[in-house]
Amino acid sequence: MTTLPVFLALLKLTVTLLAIDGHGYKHYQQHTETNRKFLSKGIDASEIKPNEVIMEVHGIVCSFCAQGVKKKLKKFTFIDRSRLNKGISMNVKNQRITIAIKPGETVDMQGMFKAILDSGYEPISALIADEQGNVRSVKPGC
Amino acid sequence: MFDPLNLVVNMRRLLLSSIVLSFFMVSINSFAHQPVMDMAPRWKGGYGFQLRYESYGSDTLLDGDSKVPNPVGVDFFVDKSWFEGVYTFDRSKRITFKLPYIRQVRTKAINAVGVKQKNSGVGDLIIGVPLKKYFNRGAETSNWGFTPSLRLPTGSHSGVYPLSDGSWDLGLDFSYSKETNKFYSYYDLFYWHNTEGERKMQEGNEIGLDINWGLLPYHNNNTNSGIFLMWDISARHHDKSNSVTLTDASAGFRIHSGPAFILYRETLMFRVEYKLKVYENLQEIGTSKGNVFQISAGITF
Repeated sequence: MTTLPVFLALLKLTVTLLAIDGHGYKHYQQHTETNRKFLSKGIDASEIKPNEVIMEVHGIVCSFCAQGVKKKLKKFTFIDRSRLNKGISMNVKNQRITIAIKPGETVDMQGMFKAILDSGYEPISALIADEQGNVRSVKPGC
Repeated sequence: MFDPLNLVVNMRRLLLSSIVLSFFMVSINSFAHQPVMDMAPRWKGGYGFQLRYESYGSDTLLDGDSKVPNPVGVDFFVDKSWFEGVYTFDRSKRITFKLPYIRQVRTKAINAVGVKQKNSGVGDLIIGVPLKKYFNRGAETSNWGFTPSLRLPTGSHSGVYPLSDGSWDLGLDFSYSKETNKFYSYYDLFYWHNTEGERKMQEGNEIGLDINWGLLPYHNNNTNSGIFLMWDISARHHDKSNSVTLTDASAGFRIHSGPAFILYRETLMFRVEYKLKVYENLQEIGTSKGNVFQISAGITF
């Protein structure tokens, strides 16, 4: 039965370790800041069309694993489900998510960043284009 | 330019890596990679189910790693149909269950005569708590995982060919996986501490290592569908069970290896795998485990 105390000690140590760098909003801000600074390639403004959001999301490499992104974004009523793939298109080759927006709707960008985080990935930055095609950049926590 | 934030992040990663690596030196563990149980759902509040069928067994008698004559016709064949589920609290914390329905048949040598025995029913329930630490960096995602598990004696331990040894068992599992949009790798080390059941049966502790290397050769963004091609290597070392144990547990070292094919579309996944026996060395004369076939289908919500 010597294995049991070892097991319990390892369990306690690992849970403590995971709690140090837990999955909270503070961690999210720190992590995205690090990614943004050192790894982000940025989004080209020419990629975006009117009434669209393009987000750069680190870690999206498999759409089966990223189904949560669609599930979490689905709750936003400003997404135009008649366009793209029910309003959302994920590209696992360049880690971009394109979101179609209903004309004239107010977009909750920070809410969408939080939804991406809850789906298990790291939102880095986004471009949003209004009805006239005016583009602005948005970053998590800003 | 010196960045204290980056330094802290890197130190944490180094600390985590060092401690997890040191765990590997102490004890080992694992469960073969399963998309619904491992890759998804990684989203908060996500859940999924999987049905998995597994088949193995043979009529090859081994003494150590050498095949020996089998005049009595000793054999064993096992089919397990697993019902598995997972719930994700957030990406770093999950809970899983795995419940098998077992059908088993064997020919056992009793007084130099081959006697047919069989049994079927629900096996032991396994509850696991996977704790994961994810790193999403550009076009790759990786995670360290630690999974304590408990195997409950829900399977019948009565009769001459019981489905379970009737014991409460503890499992420890450490894993690491890394994925890009082209490649996938998964390393999983596990240890099962088997305790003694009500009939004093004890199957012996088990240590295992699973390695998966895979390609993602096709993906369609419009339909969210694609395929994975993987190669799986499994190594197992099983301690000797005690003399009163009547299950098929046999002590020795085994390596199996073979391909796995995974097809996915939206939230659905289909997986088929065939692993060949590469090496088997038993501590006493016994039946080879043979090749292993697995097929599974899963869905996430």
